[in-house]
Amino acid sequence: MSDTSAESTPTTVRLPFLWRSKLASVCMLLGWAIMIGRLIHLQGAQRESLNTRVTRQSSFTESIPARPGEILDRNGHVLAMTVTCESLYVVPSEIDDVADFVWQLTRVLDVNSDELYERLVKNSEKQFVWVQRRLSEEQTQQIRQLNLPSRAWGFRREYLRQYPQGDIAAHVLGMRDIDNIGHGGLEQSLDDLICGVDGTRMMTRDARGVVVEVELDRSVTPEHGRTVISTLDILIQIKTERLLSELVERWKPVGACAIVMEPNTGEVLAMASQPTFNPNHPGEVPSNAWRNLAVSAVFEPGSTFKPFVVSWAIQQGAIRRDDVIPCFSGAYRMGKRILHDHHPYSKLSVEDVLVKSSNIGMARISEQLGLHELYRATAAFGFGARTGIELPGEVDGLVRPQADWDEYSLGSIPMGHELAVTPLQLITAHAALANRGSMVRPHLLVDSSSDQITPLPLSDVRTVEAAPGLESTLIDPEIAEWIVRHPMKAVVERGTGRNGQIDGLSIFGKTGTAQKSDPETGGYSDTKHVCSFICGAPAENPQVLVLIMVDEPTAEGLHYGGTVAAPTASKILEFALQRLPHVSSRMTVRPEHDLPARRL
Amino acid sequence: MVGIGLEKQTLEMKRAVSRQYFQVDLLLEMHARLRLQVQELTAPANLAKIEAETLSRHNRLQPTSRSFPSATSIEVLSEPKLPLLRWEHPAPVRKP
Repeated sequence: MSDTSAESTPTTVRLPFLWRSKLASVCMLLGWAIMIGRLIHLQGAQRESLNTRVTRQSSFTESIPARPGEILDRNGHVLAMTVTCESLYVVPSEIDDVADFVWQLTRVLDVNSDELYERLVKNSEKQFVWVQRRLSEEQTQQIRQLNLPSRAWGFRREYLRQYPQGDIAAHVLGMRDIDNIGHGGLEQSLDDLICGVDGTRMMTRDARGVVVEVELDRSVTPEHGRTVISTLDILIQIKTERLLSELVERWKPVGACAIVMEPNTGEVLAMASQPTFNPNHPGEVPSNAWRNLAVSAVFEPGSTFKPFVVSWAIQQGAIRRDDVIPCFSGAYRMGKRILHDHHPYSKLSVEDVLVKSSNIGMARISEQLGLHELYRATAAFGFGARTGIELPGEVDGLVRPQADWDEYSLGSIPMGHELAVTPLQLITAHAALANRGSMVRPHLLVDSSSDQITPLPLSDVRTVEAAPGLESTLIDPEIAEWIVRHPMKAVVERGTGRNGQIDGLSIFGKTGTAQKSDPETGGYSDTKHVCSFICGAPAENPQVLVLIMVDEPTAEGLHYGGTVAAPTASKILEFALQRLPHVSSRMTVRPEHDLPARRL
Repeated sequence: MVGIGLEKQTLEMKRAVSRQYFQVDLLLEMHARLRLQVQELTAPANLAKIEAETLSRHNRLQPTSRSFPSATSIEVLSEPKLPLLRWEHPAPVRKP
């Protein structure tokens, strides 16, 4: 018995142990099998959905706004550029004590506390409310130091357009609003190119929200705005604006504008309009300052129109240069009207008709030319159509169809009445005469493909390409040269433009004084005038043209182009001629525009 | 363990790279700000204003009669308050 019990004891002990170990092994194998199965399930069947979830949780996309391109003058001075600044927003739903929150903010910001409080209370359920945009660096720092609840507020980076030259060339540049949309000037007309295309940056963050990776293959590089190199010369522009504002101060007109142009290329060296504004302070712009009179004002050109008629008449063989024109001692009947000259002349040479600015002489020339040719001349010199300069708001001017012209038009049109032109059209037409009869399109962009701009090999700066300047020959070079070198030069030497003389320079020019129409009477006003003066130099080989237009000068009772506009125009011309050697030099656009462009 | 170590190292390097991206952003912005500051300070209109002020002050300080400048005027001219961009330095004064 005892043996049996002794034998049976180990068996009874061993069997449960064996079973237990087998059970454990099976459990472990089962466990492993489940885990492997689960792993296969996760890695295989659920792979896609889990990947998506992980990506959604850890990756996020940040928009990289394209930095608007710069606008430079022809020598590389920055006229407009962009920096970033912070804008403050709040999350009203996360604010516990609105009154305290507002009180703290108003310690730093110049905002109306009552208005802000009401706005936050009214939008208490919302997730986003702007408080103030485009904060200064100092304000940003002060807000950070307020220790406001972090979930309740935040900064957003925004671009801020800056114009380091202040109000210089404001009408040419225009401005960008708070939403980075260009208004007026090059900012508006080249908005698409200057703005660029935004990019995106895909990033991965860890469980704590810290960025661990920038995923380059899934990011899109922003295409920054293109740089605009304008034909403006900043020094000529400054001089022009200063002299124009002095003119405005003295003669107190409603408005005035000035254009400086290279007649051979059509490049605008300076363009100013008064009243003006500072694009850095868009909130302080007077309502009448937005208009760029150089392209949007229309006025009857007066006597500045006469050289076109004379040159066209010579070109068509209607008159010869050495003809003598009868002027009927200052009074000439045309239909029911009697045409008068300021001074009576019995007869004048063709040259003196322009020098003395004889209306009767011009009427006689146009009678010989005929209405049709007069209309052709008007159209050929570009009146009644936009010049195509890269500025918004340019108007066509006003040239009625030929069918609407009558016998009076033969007297009025050659005097520069019955049609309205823009200052830019007028200087462009005169540039054609100065350019030996060839008309070029006025433009504000330097052609970067020309040898004027030499980008460095490593430069990633992309510039806006200028449209090709169209050129057409209107007048024989010989006739155009004669007009410039003889009658127009004599206008300044001994005619109505004597106030535009400069010692040692052979200047040509033409004055213009036109009565404005009076909407009340339907006729011309005796008190309101538009006066202008166009001049250029040197007469033998014109390099620069200057036009000044003054709308309704009121001071001192004077309104003649030779008195009001000529002195200022000649000063600008003198300065521009001094600058010309520097203007023509080549420039290099350096990468990132880190320095003003180097001259070679 | 090696795999985990490598993974950690990779993550650390990725963090460093992403930090560089933000640094580049900051530096570009700083560059833009400094460039703006330079352009504002060297704007021809500002320089002309400074030059005009300097000239007018210079003219005010110049004695009307032909005599040696007084000690006071020399001291004022030598003050370091003049703008940094001085195109002409005051002529040295000979001591009698």
